Order: sequence, then structure tokens, then C-alpha cells
Amino acid sequence: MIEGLRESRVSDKIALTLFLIGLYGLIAKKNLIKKVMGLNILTSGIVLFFISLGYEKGLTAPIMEKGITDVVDPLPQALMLTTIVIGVCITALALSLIVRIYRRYSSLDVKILTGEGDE
Amino acid sequence: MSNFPILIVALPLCFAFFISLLSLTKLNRFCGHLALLSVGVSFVLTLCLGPRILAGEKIAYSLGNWPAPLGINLLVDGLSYLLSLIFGLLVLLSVIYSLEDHKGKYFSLVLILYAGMNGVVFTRDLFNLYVFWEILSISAYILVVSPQPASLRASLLYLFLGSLATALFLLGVGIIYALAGTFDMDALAREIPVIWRTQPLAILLVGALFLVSLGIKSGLFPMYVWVPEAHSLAPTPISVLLSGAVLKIGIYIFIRLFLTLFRTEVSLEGLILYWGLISMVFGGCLALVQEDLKRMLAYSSINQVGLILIGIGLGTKLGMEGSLYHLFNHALIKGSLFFSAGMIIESTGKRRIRELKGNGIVPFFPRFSFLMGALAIIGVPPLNGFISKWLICRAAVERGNLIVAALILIFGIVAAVYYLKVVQNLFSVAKMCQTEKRQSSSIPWIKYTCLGTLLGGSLVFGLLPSQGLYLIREAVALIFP
Repeated sequence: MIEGLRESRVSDKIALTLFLIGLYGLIAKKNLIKKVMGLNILTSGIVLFFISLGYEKGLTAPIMEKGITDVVDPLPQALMLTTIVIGVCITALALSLIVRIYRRYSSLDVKILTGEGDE
Repeated sequence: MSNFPILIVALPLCFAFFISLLSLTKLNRFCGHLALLSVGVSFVLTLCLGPRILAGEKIAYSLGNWPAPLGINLLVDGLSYLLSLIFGLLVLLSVIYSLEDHKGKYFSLVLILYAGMNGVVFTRDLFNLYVFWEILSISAYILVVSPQPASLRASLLYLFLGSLATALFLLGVGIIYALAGTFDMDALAREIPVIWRTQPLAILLVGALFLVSLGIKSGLFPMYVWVPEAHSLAPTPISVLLSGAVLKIGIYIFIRLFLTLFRTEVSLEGLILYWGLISMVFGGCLALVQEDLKRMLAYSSINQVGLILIGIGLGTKLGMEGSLYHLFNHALIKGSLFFSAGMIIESTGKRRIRELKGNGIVPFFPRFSFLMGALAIIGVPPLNGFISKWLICRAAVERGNLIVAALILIFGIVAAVYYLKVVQNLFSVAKMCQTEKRQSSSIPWIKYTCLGTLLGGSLVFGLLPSQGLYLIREAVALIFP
């Protein structure tokens, strides 16, 4: 059992703040690129949350050393590599869509998404 | 045979890689055929698992031979098999349908989508499920883009909502890991009731995160906005896949996580029942006022997903049978409806329902199959939609929930109104029939075979419901042993 949720740490609070800032950006911002930024901040919040699950002060990863008894959990870090890669994919895809949308509508306003000004 | 699960997932992924290389060479035009080969092989492998799965066996495979709590496990049981069967059939038909119209990278994306779908239903590891879900979502976002410029904004809208959904899911997975220290579903099934006793609020938070995320992904009432946009603006074969398969992923994950895994004392039945009811009512009412043919079909999908949820929310074995059977039937029916709508739009160039009136140039077969699909989804015997709606209705009556049963019947009539409006326009007397008969032969026969397969399926599973119920028996046995 990992005690991540039992004692809340500073990193958890930062992660939650980042998550909420990202959520706010994604929901409330009118500019499409700012929405993508919001999505990125939201994902970073989750990544930070996972990373802090695997962190214990004073403990280390058992790489190429013998006799270490107190080891940190290496799994969350490994998993977060995957999440970061997925986040990069999503960002790249969103930005490339936005470039093509901008070429067509000459605007980055969120109203485009609801179909105003179409046809 | 035990390594079939990984082959079913990995083959399309490998072929997707080769196809994206092949699309750069001069052999560009064979990409589709290669994709067809790989989907065909995967689908046949899925079918080969059939006899053993339906006999009640479960086929497990440990990746890299690491045992359960450490490594990632794939497991095919009744529920995964049913979903994998639907996905295989729809992807195969979509690839056949798009052989002539699309080329190159499109097919590698469809294969990645297929691999992701199978991965989601086979995996027993929560984080792995998230990764496969993201894989399938990203390829779906890209595939929504069609030559129509408005599809760009549909794709971006889908991307924002879909990424938010998977992010919420990932946060839930993180909290579960913090509580239980494992991602393995079997281990979690043992751990969650223990944690529930000490930290019920944390489990409730995870449940809420998962529900919101699945609600977005399967297009339920408040979070449905991407469904009509993406479904109506995507290319026809992708509309079929989105409606028949991608929406069902959300329902699958819901059943898998909440009904076979996290069995806590809190009962979600009421919530799911009313959520499904609201979605059904809302989707049905909005479908009535749509002018665009494919958009109407998209709202009808919201309606039908609501109906599936109602069956699950009734919480009885009969309701679950009806739901899973309707999930299967809806994939067949919506597939044939979207295919015929695509053909109608292709041959007339018109999307608005009103403009379809008196068009002699629509070939007979798409019109006929649209009629059959409409009858099936309304629930007219002897087509398959009737059987599953009957089962859900009967389950509602047996639970004493007469209002729910009445609403299901009323919204069957509402569905009849909006579908038959289209059918009436399609079959109305063609004024210019003699003068404009030119385009009726422009649809290649291979597209008709896709449509014919799905229609034949609806008829067979309507006439022989015991065959269909045999398919879902193992899936129901997982939830109500």
C-alpha cells in the first residue's frame, strides 16, 4: 500500500491546482490555442500527481546497486512517460487542426466549434 | 490458441505500420487490400476463439510471461468476445466499403483504431486500458476529418471533449493506484471492498470521475455535443464505426468497471436508469427536429445508447440480456442505416431530409435498406430491434417500473415519426424519374455487399433470437452468475 492519499503533500496540492487551472482554461477560454494550453496544464497536473505517488523522501531506485531495502515505487514514473507521449500526440494533432481551421475561418474564436458562420 | 488475444491486437498494429510505409511507395493503391487482409485475419482469429468462449471458457494471455499482479494480462471472456465480434465485423465492412474511396494512411488509422478497440476489451490492466483507449480515440479524432471543411471543427471539438474524458479517467486510475497499489483488475476486485470500508469517499470520487468520463465518451445527455457533429461530418464508414463501435466502448468500460469489478454497497442502478431515460428522451426529441439526414441518425444513436443504459440500470438479468442484445443489434442496424444514408448522400449529393423528396436518382437498394433499418430500430418484428426492445421492456415491467416501459414504447413511436419521415421522402413519387436516371449505377457492387451483410444480420438475429441470446449468454453470466 502506498500512502499517497493518507497524508496530503504539497505536491498533491500543486497537482490539484494545476488540474483545476487546466480545467478552467479548457472550459472558459475563448481562444482555441489557449484551450489546448489548458488541456496541457491539466495533463501536467495529473502527471505530477502520479509522480508524487512514486516519491518517498530519502528512498532511491534500486538500479545497479545491491542491498537497498527501502525502494521507491518505479511504476508511476514509467507510466507517466506514456502519458506524456500521448499528451504530445494530442497537442500536435490539436494544433495542426487549429492551423487548418484558421486557414479556413481566419479566426481562433471558440464560436467556430459550435458551427456558427458555417454555410 | 492462448496467444490469440495478443495476435488479434498486434496484427493490425504491425500492418498499420507497414501500410503507412507502403503508402509512400508506388504500390499505394494496395494499402486498402493489405488492411482488409489484416482485419480479416484478426476477425477470423476472433471467430476461432468463439466455440471455446461460448462454452464458458476464458482465454488468458500474460504479456512477456509475467504473472498476474506484476505484468499486463489479456483475457477474453464472454463480454470481451461479444464486443470484439461487433468491432471485427464493423471494421471489416468499413474497410471493404472504403476500398474505392480512400487510400494510404486512412487504412493504417483504421487499423490502429481496430487494435485500440480490441485492446480495450481484452486488457485486464487499468492503465493499459487507458493507453488503448487513447490510441483508439486519437485515431478516431483524425478519421473524423473528411473533405468537408466543417469536419475540421467537429474533429477539434471531439478532441477537446475526448481528451478531457480520458484525462478524468486517468486521474481516477491514479487515485485507485494510490489507494490499492495495483492496476490489475482481479487484484482490484479484491482490494476495493476492503478500501471501501475505510475510505468510501475516495472510492466515490473515483466512481464519479469514471462516470463523467464514460458519459462524455458514450455521448450521454449533458455531454453529447460532440456526437452529432462528429457522426454527421465524418466519412460514411467512420460514422458507422463511431456509432456502432466507439460509443459502445464507453458502455463496455462501464459494465466492466462498475458491474464486474467495483461491487460496493452503493447501488448505481437508479442513477444509470434515470441517466439513460434522460438521454433517450432528449436524443429522441432532438432527432425529431433535425434537418440533416446523418445528424438525425446521430441523435438517434444518443436515443439508443440511452435505451441500452436503461436496460443496465434496471439491474435484473433480463434487463442486462436486453441491453447487451440491443448493443449488438444497434451496431448492426446503425451500421446499415449509416451505410445507406452514405449511399443516398453520395448518389444525390443532398444531405437535407426535405431535399430528398421526389429524387428518382436514389438507387432502389439504399432506399430499401434504409426502410429496413428504420423498421428494425423502431422495433418492428421480425427484425432484431424488436427482440431487444421487447426484452428491455419486459424487464422494466417485471421490476414494476411501468413508467419506464411506457416511455420506451412512446419513444419507439417517436423514432417511427422521425425515421418514417425520411422513408416517406425517399419513396415519394419521383417527378423527374425519367429524365434523370443517370447516376443509379455509379455505386460499386462491393458497397452493396456491406449493406447486405448487415441487413441479413438484422433479419437473421430477428428471426432466430435464440442464436443472438446464445452469443450474449456468457457475457450475462459474468455479471449475473
